[in-house]
Amino acid sequence: MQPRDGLTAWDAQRTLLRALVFDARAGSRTVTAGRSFLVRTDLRQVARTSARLQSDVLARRRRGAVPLTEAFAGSLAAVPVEAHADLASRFCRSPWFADHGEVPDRADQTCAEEAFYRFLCAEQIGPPELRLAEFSDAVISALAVQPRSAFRVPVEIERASFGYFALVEVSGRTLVFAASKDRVVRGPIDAMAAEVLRHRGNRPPGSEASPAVWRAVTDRLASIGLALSI
Amino acid sequence: MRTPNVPFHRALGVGLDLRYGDPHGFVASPTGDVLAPRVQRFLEDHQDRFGYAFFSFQPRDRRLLDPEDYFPIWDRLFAELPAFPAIALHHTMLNLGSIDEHVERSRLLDFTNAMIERYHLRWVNEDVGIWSIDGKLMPYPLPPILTTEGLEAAVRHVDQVQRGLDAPLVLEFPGFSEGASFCVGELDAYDFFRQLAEDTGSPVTLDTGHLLSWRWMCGHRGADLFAELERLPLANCFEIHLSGCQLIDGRFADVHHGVIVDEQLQLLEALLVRCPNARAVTYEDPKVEPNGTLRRKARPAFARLEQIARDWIAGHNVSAHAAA
Repeated sequence: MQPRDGLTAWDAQRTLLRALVFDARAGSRTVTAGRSFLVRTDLRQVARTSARLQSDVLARRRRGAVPLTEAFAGSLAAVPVEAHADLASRFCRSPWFADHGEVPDRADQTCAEEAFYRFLCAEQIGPPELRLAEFSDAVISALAVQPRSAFRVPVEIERASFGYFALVEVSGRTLVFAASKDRVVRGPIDAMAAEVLRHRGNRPPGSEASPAVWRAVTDRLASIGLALSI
Repeated sequence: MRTPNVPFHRALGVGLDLRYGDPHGFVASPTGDVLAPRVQRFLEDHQDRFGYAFFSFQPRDRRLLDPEDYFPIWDRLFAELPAFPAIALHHTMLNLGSIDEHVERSRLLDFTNAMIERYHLRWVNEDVGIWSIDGKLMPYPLPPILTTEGLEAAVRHVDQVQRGLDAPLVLEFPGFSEGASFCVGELDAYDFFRQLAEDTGSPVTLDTGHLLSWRWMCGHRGADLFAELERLPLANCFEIHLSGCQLIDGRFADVHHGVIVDEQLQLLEALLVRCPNARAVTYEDPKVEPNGTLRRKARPAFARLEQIARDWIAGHNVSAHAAA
């Protein structure tokens, strides 16, 4: 195949292979340009492999996690199952997919849950609050099993002495998702407990809660596994 | 050539893909992950029939790779396993056919060397393939790009890994299983692989299912499936693999279900007379019943494999047609 200006033949080959694997449309567009390169390639095989990979992206049970279709079941409720293949195809062509990775020897990659969440946000799929809650739950669940994860912790997830947590507002209620020593805590939380978590147990100056109330809430959080070292 | 140092002249061995949460890999127990009882039983019952074993590395979870997380599981594995004279590692992450812009392997090589040291692993092998692209895992490794540039890249990757590993790296001919992978590039895979082995001075593994899958993909059938073996790096061949394969709807699939097909045994015989330095023949991924016995469908071919291996180990001539 003839590389474009500034590209080496190797660059062109790699680009074409990526397109064939992750982006069937771009792949088919480049087939003409890469005719000699594809002399041995059965394009039906390419389509089968690419379809398998894309379906795998959504349906694969990642170690210590549920498939993305399960993790985001509520957000995807309005997407018919027969449209999932197209959804997977669009996801695989997205910049968020490009940025993510799942090899266990790198900590600088975005996890699949975050990539899919950003994609859903960009495509406006699912109610925003539910989307965020499902995303928080999925990432927290992964972090509970593997605190030293082979992915970057998303900015929405906060660190605390017990592990990680996220607070999400859904239908006027605050939900907490927290990971602590192989344990996941999820459910509604009152405003006071949310406040204590946000401040990592350190009572801010001018807080309306008395030190005794503050301590009582901190103890209550500790009793469910969310011990804050103050 | 950095050839594995093994305590046998020739041997039949077994290779196991130890996935976590798999009835043929590691299963959860109250005291942690343990080798599945059926596999444990199978290995105990076949201890005298296998001269070595290799285990395929599978990441346990999404933790950042750290040998300390694996030592408790593998320590227990080796404490409870029959004592095979040699143990090797089938890697799944070296990504020797990588097309990534930058490949950083220091953590991976440190991890692998820690495993080599602790468990006295005699060699490390991996299919020369694309196991991940930009961190995205492939469901089945893709073959490398079969071009001059793809070959040059593979040589660089192999050189880097060879330099970084504390045990010999044995290159495995990649699979071309239909429905799970495709190939790009104009070079013949046999020529590509021979050149790679020669340029890097590497010992190699010839997987019978992988070789047949390439020939099948190229449209060869019947006797032509076994033709042109001289294009392979036969003198570099240290190990031959046999795993379960199957023709599905006219497509050749490398399914690893333990049932070896006749064509693989024919090819094994043809290779054994042509590979003067072969030392190891591996039955890869046997599938066993819950009581530890080999699946009924797999037994006839395994019996033939054992017979072929016995003759080869004893130095007897293999069947005349294999040499033809």
